[in-house]
This record gives sequence, structure tokens and C-alpha cells, in this order.
Amino acid sequence: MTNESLPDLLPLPVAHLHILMALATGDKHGYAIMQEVEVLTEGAVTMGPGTLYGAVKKMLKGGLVEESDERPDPELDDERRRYYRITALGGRVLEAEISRMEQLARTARARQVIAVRRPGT
Amino acid sequence: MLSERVYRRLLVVYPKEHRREYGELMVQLFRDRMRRDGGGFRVPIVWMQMIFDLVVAAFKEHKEGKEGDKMKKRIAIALVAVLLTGAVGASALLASSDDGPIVSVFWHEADGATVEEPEVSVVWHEADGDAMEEPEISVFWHEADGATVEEPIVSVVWYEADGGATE
Repeated sequence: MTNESLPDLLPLPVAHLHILMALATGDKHGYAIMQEVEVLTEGAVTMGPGTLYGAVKKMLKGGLVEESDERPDPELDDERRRYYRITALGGRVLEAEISRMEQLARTARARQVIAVRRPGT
Repeated sequence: MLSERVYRRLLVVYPKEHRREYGELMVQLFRDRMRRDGGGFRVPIVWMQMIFDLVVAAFKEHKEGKEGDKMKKRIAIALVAVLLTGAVGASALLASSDDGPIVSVFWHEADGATVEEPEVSVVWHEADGDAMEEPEISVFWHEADGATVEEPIVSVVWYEADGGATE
């Protein structure tokens, strides 16, 4: 586990945020992560192999995710697949990042930064 | 699968260490994606996404790794190979039978103090019915160091065999 404090890890790169969100609901292999990210983003983001494993590599190094030996259904699965799970640190970082984004959104609304469309404009 | 073989060859643009650790996993994810989305008219769309992903991710890996000096060269060579593969593949797929053309991208690199001659060749073999036609496209990249020619040279050579004769 890394010694970095949470603020040092924020803001998270978007790919890292998506992967942590995908893993928050259970261990997954690469393809399952890609599919979950598509669901989370309503089809707006489809992660390619390079982006996904580039991010996974950094997150493993940073202690945000780890490899998992558990397989949901070994009978139906390809044993060559690697599963990943979110770590305790990854969970805390995910929470902190979402809080940060919520705070940012609140501030934006309070300051009326977001353009409000009025009928006829 | 043709697409998978081409993609596997293109992974050469990643640093060796990254390729060793994640190469098979990336190929597997590519395979999964192609099975799901790689049918019919969507093939070129998925390929464009994959190539964009490949180039951007490889750029980042080289930038953060120790092989930054080779980055531009590798990506440039890969792009040439990719563009030619795509162009040749698209045109041939339109004209060929269902027997399945084969495209291979080869990369050869010499390390160390010896002459560096990275070379990319794209070779196309097409089976049409009972007869075997072997049109071949090769892209060669030669780079000379030092005071000699510094400009990389890219040449495209096309050999076509019609029956037993080579034109």
C-alpha cells in the first residue's frame, strides 16, 4: 500500500475513476471492466485495451487495485483472464474523488457557472 | 482471426516490458471487443478506435518509461504500417472472395551499437478460389545514423504473382 495521502492522488484521471467505479461493484476482468464502464457512462466511453491496461498498471503500482485470485464461476471462465479488485485505499480514493466532484458541482451551481437555458433563448 | 493477428503485431509500438506484462491481455480484450462489435460495417469503426487507443496509450507508456527516445520512431513506423494495412485491407476486402486474405505486419529492430535498421513490412496473401494468388506489398524503413543519410526512407514495393509468374 502506498504512503501517499489522499489529496496527492486527486484529482483522479478519468480512466482511473471509471475503473474504480466499475470495480466498486465486484471483482472483474478487463472485458467486464470495459463493459461496466460503458454502462456507467451510458455508452459514452468504451475503453480500449491500451487505455484500460495502461491505467490498471498505474493503479496496481499506486495500490488502488490489486489482482484477485477469486473467480465468480471458474467453470465458465477463461483461466487466462486476470481479475482485479478495488483495495481499501482505492475505495477511500474513490469516495474522496466523488466528494470532490460533488463539491465542485455545488459550487458551480451556487455561482451559476452553469448556463441556464431559458425558453425562447 | 485476421484482425487479431494484425493487432498483435501492432503491439510492437509499446515498450517491451509493458508488452510482456500486458500484451496477451490486450489481445484478449481486443478479441472480446471484435467478437461483440466487429461485424460487417462496424469493422472499420472499431479498428479506428483501436488504432487511436493504441497510439495514444503507446505514447503515454513511452513518455513515462525509459524508452522515450525510440517513441517517435516506433509510432511513426507503426502508423505507416497501419495506414497501409488499412488501405490495402479495405480495398482488397471489397474485391476479394470470402476465402480470407491474410495480412501480416513484421517488425525487425537491431539493438545496441550495431546498425539500427528498423524495418516494417506489410505482406498480403490472398486466396481466391482454387488458385493461389500472392500479391504482396512490402513497406521497408531504413534509418542510417551519423553523418550519412539521416532522413528515413520509406519505399513501397508491390509484387504480384499471377499463376507461376511474377510481375
